[in-house]
Amino acid sequence: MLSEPQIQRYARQLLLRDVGERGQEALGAVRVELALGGEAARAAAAYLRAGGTDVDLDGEETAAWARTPPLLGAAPGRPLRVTAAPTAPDGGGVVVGTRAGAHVLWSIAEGGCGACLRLSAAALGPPEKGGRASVQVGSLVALLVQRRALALASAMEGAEVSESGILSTLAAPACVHRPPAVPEAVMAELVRHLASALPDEGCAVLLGREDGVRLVPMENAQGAHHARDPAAFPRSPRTAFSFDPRAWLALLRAADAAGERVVAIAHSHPDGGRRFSAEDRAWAAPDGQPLHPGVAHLVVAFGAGRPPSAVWAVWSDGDFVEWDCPLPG
Amino acid sequence: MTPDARIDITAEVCPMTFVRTKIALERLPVGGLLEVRLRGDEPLRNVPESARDAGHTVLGLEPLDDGTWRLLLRRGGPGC
Repeated sequence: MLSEPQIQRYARQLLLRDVGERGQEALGAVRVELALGGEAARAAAAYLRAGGTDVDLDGEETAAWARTPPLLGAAPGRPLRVTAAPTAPDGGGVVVGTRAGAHVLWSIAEGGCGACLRLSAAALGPPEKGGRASVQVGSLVALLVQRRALALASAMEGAEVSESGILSTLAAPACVHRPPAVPEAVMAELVRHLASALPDEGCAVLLGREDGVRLVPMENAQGAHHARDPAAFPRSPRTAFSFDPRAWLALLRAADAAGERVVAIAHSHPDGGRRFSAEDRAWAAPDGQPLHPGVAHLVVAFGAGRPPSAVWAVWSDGDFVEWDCPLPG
Repeated sequence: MTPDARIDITAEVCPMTFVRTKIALERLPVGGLLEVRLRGDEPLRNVPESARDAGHTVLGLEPLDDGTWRLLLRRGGPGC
């Protein structure tokens, strides 16, 4: 509950629909670490403090009028970091940089995709330390931080100020560092298809478009490959899977024509192995780089006497990261 | 109808008239009743209208013998 001095001090913003008493408390519960420097940092600090958020300015100080500390209610817990590109904040925060003469800001939630933010930050040059747009950039930093504190922001959002001062929002990149969302019905269909291949490994492809994800059941061609050329394909379909190259090419062509993309490649482990194995990694990233960038891998394990379980493997920052994949009932 | 809370903003001026009202409404549960005592043209014009704009319901507004007004508000949904 705000104190009487806090109500007096923040009266104007308490009137805003998205702020009110709870919002004002949320603004006070965030602590901003501004590792940015220059005029933009000083402007951001002034706007944030005026809004009731405490700021660490990393050694720099600001004008006396903006130095008044906010009237904090509780001890601020949540840190939000503001960094200068190409460095990206670790956790929630904002990165500021430049691209082709424009100022660019990316803001991310605490649980947002760090890999997406690091890629976006790496594409930016360092921010300008002064200049005409500095105050505008600083006020945008404050706005993006306040949107996050008030839970008004999406997982990742961006803004750009052009050379002539025109402000526009930027669409967040489509994230390929986290497992895709797959409807339960599709997942159930996938498990049924993989189970039908037992005791061999089964395989399938998930194709996606904006309106959803669908299953393309695939045949495991490892048996044919193994029979034809056991030296090149030493493993049998009991312990390996591969696609028929013509079927794979046909699938890619059809997907391309339909405006779909390969979202994931799925296969099963009939021996119950619940990990994206060393063989799986070597197959999916033979030279330390993913063979299919932006494509997730799904392993469904069938163990004797227990229900199937699954794990995603998604390429992020130079390695496959495993994510648990709940299967429908 | 018995209000859940009462505030007196007869000594306040704009914008504190609605600031007090808004905070008092936000501190009530959804559907809670707030009685506001107010005085003068400004709050009479602005407070009921601002409360409606913010998603609350104006249940009544009546003059009292001492020249002040009694406004009864019902708190709107959780987003207000």
